[in-house]
Parts: sequence; structure tokens; C-alpha cells
Amino acid sequence: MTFHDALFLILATASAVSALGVVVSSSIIRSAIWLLFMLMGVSGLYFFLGAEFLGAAQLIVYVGGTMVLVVFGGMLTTRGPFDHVPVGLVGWVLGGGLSLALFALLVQASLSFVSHPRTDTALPGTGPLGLTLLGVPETPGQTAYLLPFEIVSIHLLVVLIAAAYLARAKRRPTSTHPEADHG
Amino acid sequence: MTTPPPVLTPAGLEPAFDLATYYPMLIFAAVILSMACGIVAATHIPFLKPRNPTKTKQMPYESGMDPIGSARMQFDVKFYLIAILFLVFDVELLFLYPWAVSAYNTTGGWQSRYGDLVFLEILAFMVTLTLAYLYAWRKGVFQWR
Repeated sequence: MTFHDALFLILATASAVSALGVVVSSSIIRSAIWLLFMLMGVSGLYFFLGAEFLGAAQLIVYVGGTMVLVVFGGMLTTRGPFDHVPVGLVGWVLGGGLSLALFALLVQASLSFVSHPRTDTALPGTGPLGLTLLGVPETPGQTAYLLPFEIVSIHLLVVLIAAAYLARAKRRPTSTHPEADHG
Repeated sequence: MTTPPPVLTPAGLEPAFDLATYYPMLIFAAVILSMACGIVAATHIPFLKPRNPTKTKQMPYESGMDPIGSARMQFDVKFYLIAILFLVFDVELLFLYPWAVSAYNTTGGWQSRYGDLVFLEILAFMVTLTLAYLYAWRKGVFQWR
């Protein structure tokens, strides 16, 4: 077993165990923390595969941003000190059956790739991606995504304005909840 | 250890992806993880942890101040708005990353191909978000009330 095999095993096992922790844990916040480690493990797998930008996106957006939203969502909506989600037998059987079926499908799909080994051994970094994202098509048929790139910023503008609008529309004169004290 | 040869791409000769460039980060993560696990093991495993609790020791640590009330309560929804604002600029930062990698690359970067257009493109991207920022500012999103 080479060093890279061992590294892959560690990353994959950590991701799988964390993913199990997400569904097994009944506390929302604990599920969120397990999800954090699962996303970090998957990001490590992306780096391992040479997809640096995807790995960075996973770390920046999901681990850094979306997880904050999930944890805040738990903190905002929780009713009691230790909010638990009870899962009945039907839920376990139904969810377990569905996830087992999905797992079998994924294993079957990944085994079908064994007969098609990868031909390119060396992978480029993020540079070509950046050139495609911001380049101008010089010849017809050349892929360039400058317009979608600028539309991304318009999209972010819409999100920001909507967030500001929604937050102001639901303003109440006084807060009924005690504010968090940061020492 | 051998480094793979550079890859020829439309952006010129690019250094090939090499996992070895991430080895320092792996060492860093391993050191951090072993420290964290060591601290948790030394303080939580029975027979290993010292057991001498007092009332003060079991108090939550709050920067040396006496904690007021419980930390487990419903939080104000204003935190969520701050989180959304953070996420928007987080995504903006993410899209600056491929630009920053190849914009001023000396071997076949954008500047040698498109000139100052490279700068104007990213300027348009950031000005759009600055407009949103100004709107949120005028709307009083950054005021804590």
C-alpha cells in the first residue's frame, strides 16, 4: 500500500464515518458538526483527485458558509436546551432502505468505471479554468464563460438585495428574545 | 520524489497538479488533529483524567467573566442575516480565486492575451457587488437594533 492509498483510505473512512454520524445523531447541532467533518473529508477527496478549485469551493462555500447557516438555523429555531429529533422505526426502515438502494446503485456505477481506466496522468491546476471563466471567445466554437461569470455577480446582487429587503420588512420595534452576550 | 511534467493548456504551460504541494498542509492538519484528540483523551478518558471537580471549575469559561444565564437559548434572527451577508461575499471571494491564479500569470496569462480587459472584467464583477453592498448599507442592514 502506497502513501497515497493510505491517505485515500483515511479520508474516505473519515467522510463515511462522519456521514453516518449525521444520520445517527439525533441532536441537530451534533448532526451539523458531523456534516462539517463530512464536507471537509469530501473536500479532501476533491484535492486528492486534483480538482483544486472544487475542493476550495467546498471548503469556502460549504464548510465556511453553509455550515454557519445550518448551525444558526439550529440556534434560531431550537425550542429547548437540547433539542432532539425523534426518529421512529418507520423512519429508520424507510430511510435505511432508500439509502441502501442508493449505495448499491453508486457501488455498481463506480465498479463500471474499472473497465475504463484514466488515460491522462497529469492534471493541470486552476489556471485553465480561470482562463475559460473570464476569457473572450476568439474563434467561433471556443468555450468562454465570461457572460455567465458576470451573471454570477448579478445573481449575488439579487441575493443580497433580497436578504436586505426581507430582513427590513419583518422588523419589529423591540426584540422579544434576549440577545446573546459575547464576552 | 519526481514531479510530473507541465501540462500544455490553452493558458500556456501549467504546472501539473501535484499532491506533494499539499503535504505541508497535511502535516499541519495531522498535528492539529493529534493535539485536539490528545487534549480530549487526557480530559475525558476515565482513569486518565484527574478527577477533582469544584463549583468554579465546572462553570462555563466566559473570558474570565461570570457567565450570565444559559448559553442555550433562542438566538436573534439578526445573526442569520449576518450569516447570509457573509455567504454572499464568501461566494464572491471564491470566484476571485481562478481569476487571481491566472490573470497575471507570466506564461500565457490573460494579460498577455487580452490586456487591461482582464482588470475591467473583474472590476465589473466587483462593482456589481459594491452596488448591492451600498443598497444594504442604505437599508440599514449593518445597524444592530
